[in-house]
Amino acid sequence: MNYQACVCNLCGTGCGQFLKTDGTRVLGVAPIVSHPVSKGKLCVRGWHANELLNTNERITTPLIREDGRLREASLDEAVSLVVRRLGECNGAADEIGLLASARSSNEDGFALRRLAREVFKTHLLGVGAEAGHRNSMDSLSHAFGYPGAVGDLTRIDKADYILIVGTDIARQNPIIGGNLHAAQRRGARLVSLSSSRTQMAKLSTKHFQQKPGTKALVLNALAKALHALRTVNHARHADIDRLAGYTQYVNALRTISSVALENASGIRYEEIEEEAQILDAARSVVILFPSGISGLDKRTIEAICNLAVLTDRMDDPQSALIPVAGISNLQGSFDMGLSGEAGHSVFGSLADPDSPLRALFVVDHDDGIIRNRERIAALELVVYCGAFRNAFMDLADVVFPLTAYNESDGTYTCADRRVQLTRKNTDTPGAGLPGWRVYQAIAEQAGYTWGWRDAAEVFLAITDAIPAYHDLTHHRLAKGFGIHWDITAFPAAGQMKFHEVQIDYPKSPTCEEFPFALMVGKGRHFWHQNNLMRKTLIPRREYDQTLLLYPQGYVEICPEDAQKLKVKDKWLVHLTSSTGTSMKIAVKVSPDVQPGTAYIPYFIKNMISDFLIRYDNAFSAGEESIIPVRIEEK
Amino acid sequence: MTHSQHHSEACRDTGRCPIVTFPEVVNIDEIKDEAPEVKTFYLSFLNPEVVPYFRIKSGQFIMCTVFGAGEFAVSLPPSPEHDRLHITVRSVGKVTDALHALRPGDKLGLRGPFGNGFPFETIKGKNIVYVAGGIGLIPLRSSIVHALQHRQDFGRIILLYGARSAGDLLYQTDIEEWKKVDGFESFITIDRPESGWQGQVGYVPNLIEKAKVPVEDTVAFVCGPPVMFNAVIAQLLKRGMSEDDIISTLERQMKCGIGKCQHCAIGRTLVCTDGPVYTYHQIKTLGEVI
Amino acid sequence: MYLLTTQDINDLARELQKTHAVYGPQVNAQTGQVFFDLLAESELPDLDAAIPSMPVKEILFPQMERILKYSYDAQAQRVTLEKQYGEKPKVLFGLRPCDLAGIQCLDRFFLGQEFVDDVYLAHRRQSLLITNTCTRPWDQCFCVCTHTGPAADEGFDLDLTRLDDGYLVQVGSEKGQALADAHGWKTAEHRRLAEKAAVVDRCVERFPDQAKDNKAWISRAMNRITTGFVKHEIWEYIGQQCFECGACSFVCPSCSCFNIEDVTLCGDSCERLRTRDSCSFSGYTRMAGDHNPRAPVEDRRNKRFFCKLSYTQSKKYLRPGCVGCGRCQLVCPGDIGLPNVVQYIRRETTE
Ligand SMILES: Cc1cc2nc3c(=O)[nH]c(=O)nc-3n(C[C@H](O)[C@H](O)[C@H](O)COP(=O)(O)OP(=O)(O)OC[C@H]3O[C@@H](n4cnc5c(N)ncnc54)[C@H](O)[C@@H]3O)c2cc1C
Ligand code: SF4
Ligand code: SF4
Ligand code: SF4
Ligand code: FES
Repeated sequence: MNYQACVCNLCGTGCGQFLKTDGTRVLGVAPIVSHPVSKGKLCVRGWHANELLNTNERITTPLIREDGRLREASLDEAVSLVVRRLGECNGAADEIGLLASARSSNEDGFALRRLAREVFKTHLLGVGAEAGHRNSMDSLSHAFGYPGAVGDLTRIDKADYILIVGTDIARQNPIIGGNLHAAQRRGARLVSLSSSRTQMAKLSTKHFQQKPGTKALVLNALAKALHALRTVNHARHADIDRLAGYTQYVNALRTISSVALENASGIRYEEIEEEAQILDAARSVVILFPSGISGLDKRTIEAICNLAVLTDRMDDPQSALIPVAGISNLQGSFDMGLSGEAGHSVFGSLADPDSPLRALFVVDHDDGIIRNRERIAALELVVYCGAFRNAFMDLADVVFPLTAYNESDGTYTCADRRVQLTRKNTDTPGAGLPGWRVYQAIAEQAGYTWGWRDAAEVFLAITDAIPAYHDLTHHRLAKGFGIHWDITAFPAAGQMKFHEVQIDYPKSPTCEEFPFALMVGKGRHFWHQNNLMRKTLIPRREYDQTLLLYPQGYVEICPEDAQKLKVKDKWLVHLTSSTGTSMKIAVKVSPDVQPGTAYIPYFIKNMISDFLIRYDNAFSAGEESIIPVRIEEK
Repeated sequence: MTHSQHHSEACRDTGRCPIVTFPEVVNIDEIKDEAPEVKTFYLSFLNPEVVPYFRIKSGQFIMCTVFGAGEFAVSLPPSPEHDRLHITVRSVGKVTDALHALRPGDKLGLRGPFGNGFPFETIKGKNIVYVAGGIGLIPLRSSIVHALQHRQDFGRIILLYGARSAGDLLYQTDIEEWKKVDGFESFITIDRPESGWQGQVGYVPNLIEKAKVPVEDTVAFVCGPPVMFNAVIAQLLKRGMSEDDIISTLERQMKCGIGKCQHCAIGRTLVCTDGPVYTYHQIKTLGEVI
Repeated sequence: MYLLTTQDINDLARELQKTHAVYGPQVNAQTGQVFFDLLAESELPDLDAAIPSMPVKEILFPQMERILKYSYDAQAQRVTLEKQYGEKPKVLFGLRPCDLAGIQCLDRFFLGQEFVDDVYLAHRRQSLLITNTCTRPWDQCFCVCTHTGPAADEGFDLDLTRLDDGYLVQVGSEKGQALADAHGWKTAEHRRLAEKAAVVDRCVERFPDQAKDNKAWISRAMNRITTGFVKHEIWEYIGQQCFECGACSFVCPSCSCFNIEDVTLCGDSCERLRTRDSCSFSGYTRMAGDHNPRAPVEDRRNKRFFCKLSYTQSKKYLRPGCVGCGRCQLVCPGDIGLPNVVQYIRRETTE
C-alpha cells in the first residue's frame, strides 16, 4: 500500500489526507473519507500537496555564509557557530529574538520555546500571525475560561443556527466552507456578516452586508434584540444574568439607537430583530470567525464572545464558537507558548531601530514580503531554519534544513483544538531534520541535555508541561483522527463572563477628499501571500492567472462607483490614501463590494511596500481595517 | 536511434507523420532580429532521418521545447515547399524569453507539425487577400509564399499589412522578394508617420478600401490583434464577403498539441486538432473568442 | 467459462506477480479506506473490498507522472533526452465493472482519436484486466443508471464472479484465453451462468436500500444538456457551489484533462511532468488579455457536465462519460457531484 494517512498542513482546518508515496517521493494525494471534519474532501491546496512536496526548492543541507555567500556546512559546524555567536549576545537583555512558525509541529514548537527560554534566555518570541490569534485567545479565555475553541468543528453538521463573522471561509478554509454549505442545505440557518458579498455570503441563508468597521456594532445590536426577546419570554436556563459583566453589558446594549445603527452600519434594526427571533428559537448555535493574520479586531471578537454567552446555548452539545485559523498549527503554537509575552514583542524589537536586538532566529518564515528588512540585514546574526528555500535565506548567516510535514513524526493542533498526529511517510531529500532535533543539537552544544530520542518523547515532555495536553500520547493519537485537548485542565473552564463593551457608531473615516473606504484582505488563491503555493504547479497557475488579467493587481469597486468615476474594468487608476501614499492599480468592477468601498487583496507586492506599510494597524486590525482613499482615473 | 524508434509508435498511416510525444532535437543555425522583441530562428534537425517525414502544411504549428524552460506552441512560417525551417517568436513570457536568450548552435526540441492548416487545393483559381497586423503575419507567411510559388493557380494575390512602426514590420526582405513576383499586390502601412517612411500611414482596415479588395471568388486570410481583426471583418462583411470565405487562426494555451490535454478547448472544438485555422463563420459560432 | 477456487485465484495472482506489476484492491488498516494499488510481494487482492476510493485510472494515468527527462549543457550546446514512460506490464486484478468502463472511456479517448497518446499507451499496452462482479452495491453506487454494472459485459481479459462454491471465470479476450489454457482450469457447467445471473439480480435488488446516496437518471439529463435546455439560473446555482478544488476531475474514472510543465531539478536536469488538471480551474484556459473562453465559473462547471453527459461527447467514448461510481459526489465540498447535478436538472424539468 503506497497510501499513507496524514494531516494536511496547508491550513488550520486539519483535513485528513493520504499521500501516495514510494517512501522517497510523494506521488499523489487522496482524501481520507472517514475523517470527521473533512469527510473525504480536500481543497485545491490539499489536492496539490504532492506538487509542493516534490519541489526542488528545498533546503537540503546546513549552510553558512562566508564572504557573502552561503556554502554547505556540516550540522556540527553550523550548530557550533550558532552557539558561539549567540553566546556573545545577552538574551535576557532582549538581544536575541525568535520568530517561530505556526506551521511547525507541536514538538518543534515546544523544543523551540525551550531553546529560547532555557538556552538563549530570551523572552523575545513570536509567531507570524500571532496578533490576531492572541486577541481571539484572550477574549475566549475571559469569556469561557480557556484559550481555545468552544466545542468543535463537527458541530457544524448538527447545529440549528450558524453565524459566520467576517471571513470568506469558502476561500480560506474551503472544507469548513463546504461543511457550512452542507449544513445550510440540510436546513440549518446560515448567516454571514461581512462587508463584501463573498462566496460564503452567497451560499448563506442570510447575508448582513454591513458597512466596513461596524461588525461589532451589528453584533451588539443583534445581542440587544435577542436580550429584549429573552426578557419578554423569560426563556433561559442558565443564570446568564448572574454572570460577571452582565449588567454593564446589558446596559450598554440598551443604549443602542436604531437610527444611529442604521446610519453607521447600513443595516436596519427591524432586520436584526427578525434575525434575533430565529436565533432565539435555535437550540444550538455555532459561531465562526477568522483568527490569525487576517483576523478580526479585539472589539469585534469580544462582541462575538458576548453574543455567544448571551445566546445561552453554548453548553448545548451541538454548539460551538471557533476561531478559524488560516495556518495549520496556529492554535498549537499558541498552546506551546510561542506567541510571546506582553511587553516582549520580537516584532516590536524589529520595528524599533533603537532596540537592543542583535540576533534573530527564524523558523519557516511565511511572508513573501519581509518587513523590517534593513533592520534584519543589519543584525549581527540571523539563523534561518526551514524546509523550503525562502527569501529569508538571503538575510541568513546560518541555515538549517528542516523536514517537510510528511517527513517526520509530529502533532498539529487545528482550529478547534483537535490534536492530530502525522507520521513520517517519506524520506527527506538531503540532510533535513525535524526542528526539535536541530534545537536539541544547539542546546546540547550549549551544555544542556534534553535527552529526546524521538518525537514521541518530545511529546511526553509536552504532556508534562502543558496541562491541556496532559492525557495525550502519540500512541493514543495514532488511532482515529485526533483528540481535542482537554479544556478541564483550565480551572476556570465553564465559568462564563461577559466582556465590557462600549457602544459607538464608527463613522466612516472617508471624507470628500478621500471618499472610498479601502478594505484589505485575501483573494481567492492568495493564501498567506502564497509562499508555499508558489512552489506548486497548478495552484500557482491559478494564482498567476488573476495577475494575467490584472498584472498590476486590482482594486475592486462596484459598478455604480465605476460609472461615477468613468472607469471600466482593467483600467488603471491612481489610488491615493489619506496619509499620502499612492499606487497605480487596475480596477476590477464587481457587484460584490458595496458603493463607497474598495477592496484590495493584500498579496500585491508594491501595495504592501509602497502603500500599506504606513498603516501598521492595517495588519493588526485585519479585516476591519479601513483606509480612506481617493481613486482617480489615470 | 532511428526515426521510427523514438517517434510515435502510434503514428497512423495518414501520409503525414508528425513527431507526437518525444521531441526531436533541432539545431539553431541562425538567429535574425526581426523587430523589437521578435526574432526568427532558423532550424535544422540533428537526425537527418526525420527530415523526409517532417512534411508541413501552411497554417500548421509545432510544439517547441526550450530546454530547461518548457514547451510552447508556435506557427510554422515556412512554405511546405522549398523553404528553410524556421520559427518567428515574440518574447512574452517565461519560455519565449528563454528562447530569445539562446545563441546559434543551441538546441531546441520539436514536436509536430500539428493542426489542420490553411486550405490550398480547394481555393485554387480564387483571389487571395492576406490581411495581417503586427505579428499576425507569422502564421500567414507560409501560405503567402506557397501561393506565390504557385502564382499561376490563383487570381489576385493581395497583402494588406500593418504594424505600429516601420521597425515592427516583419519579414521585410521577404516582402521585397514577394513584390518581385508578377501581380503580387502589397499595401503596407504603419500606425503613425515617422521620418524616413514613405509608405502608407494609418490602420490596416483602411487599406481594404484602398486596395479595392474583391469579394467574388475571393478568400481572405485575416490574422492580427483583436481590435484590428474585428474592424477588418466588419469591413469585409460590409463589402459582401461571405463568412465562410474569411479565414483566420485562433490561439489558445496548448500543452499537448494532439487533442488530449484539453487546454485548447473552446466549446466543442479543440484548437490544436480541429484548428488553429477556422472560417469566420466557425469562429462566430464558437462564441466570444476574439 | 471456468470454475476456480479462492485458492486458484490467489495462486493466479501470485504467479502473475512474477512477471507483472499486479495491482488490486487493498484496505488501509488505519482508516478502512480501499485503494486499488500495487500489491506487495506477499499481498493478495482483496476481492471483497468495497469500491476503491480513488479511481483505477491512477495506475494508467497517474496524478503526477514524469514523461521526459533531459539535461542541457549550455556550454557544449548538447542535450540528452530520456523517455520516462516505459512501463512494466501490469495486471489490474479485481476491477469493479464501473472502473473497467472508466478505462474503456480513457482507451477510446487516449487511443482512439486522431492521435494516440503514447504515454497512456505505454501503460495500457501490456496490461491485463481482470474484473470482479459486484455482489452488492455501496452507498455511492449508481451503475445501474449508467449501465456499467454490477457486472461487466465486455472489455475485460478475465471476469470473476463469486458464486457460493467458487469463482466463475469468464474469458473476454485472447490474452485471457491463453491464461486459461495454460492453467488447464476446470470448466464450468452452463448452469453456472444462471447462478451468476442470480447474483447480479440480487445485487440489483439491493440498490434501492443500499445505494441511497445517488440516483441519477442519466439519460433524461443527457437530453436536456445536449439540447442546451438547462436554464441559466441552474448553472449559476451550480457554479456558486463550486469551491474550485478540482477533486471531481481527479477522482472521475473518465476525466482525462492534464497539464504539462517542465520542472528543473537540482543541476541541469529537467523533468517534463504531466499532472492531472481540471476544467473547473479558472487558470485552465486563461491566456493574456482576458482571453478566457470560459471565464465564469458556472461555464466551467457546465463544461464538465457537458463532457460527461452530452451526446456529442459520448460519441468519443461510445458511451456516456459518467460510469456511475459516485466518487465526485463524495469528494465535492459543494453539492454538485454529477449525480446531484443530474438531480437539479431533472427537478427543474419536472417543475
Ligand atoms: C497555434 C499557435 C501558434 C502560435 N504561433 C506563434 C508564433 O508564431 N510566434 C509567437 O511568438 N507566438 C506564437 N504563439 C503564442 C505562443 O505560443 C505564446 O506566446 C507562448 O506560449 C508564450 O509562452 P511563454 O512561456 O513565453 O509565456 P508565459 O510566461 O506562459 O506567458 C506569457 C504571456 O503569454 C500568454 N500566453 C501563454 N500561452 C499562450 C498561447 N499559447 N497563446 C497566446 N498567448 C499565450 C500568457 O497568457 C501570458 O500572458 C502561438 C500560439 C499558438 C496556440
Ligand atoms: S482546507 Fe486546509 S487542511 Fe483542508 S485540504 Fe485545504 S489546505 Fe488542507
Ligand atoms: S462523473 Fe462522477 S459519478 Fe460519474 S464516473 Fe465521474 S466521478 Fe463517477
Ligand atoms: S469537486 Fe466540487 S467544488 Fe471541487 S471542483 Fe469539482 S465541482 Fe467544484
Ligand atoms: S493542446 Fe492539448 S488538447 Fe489541444
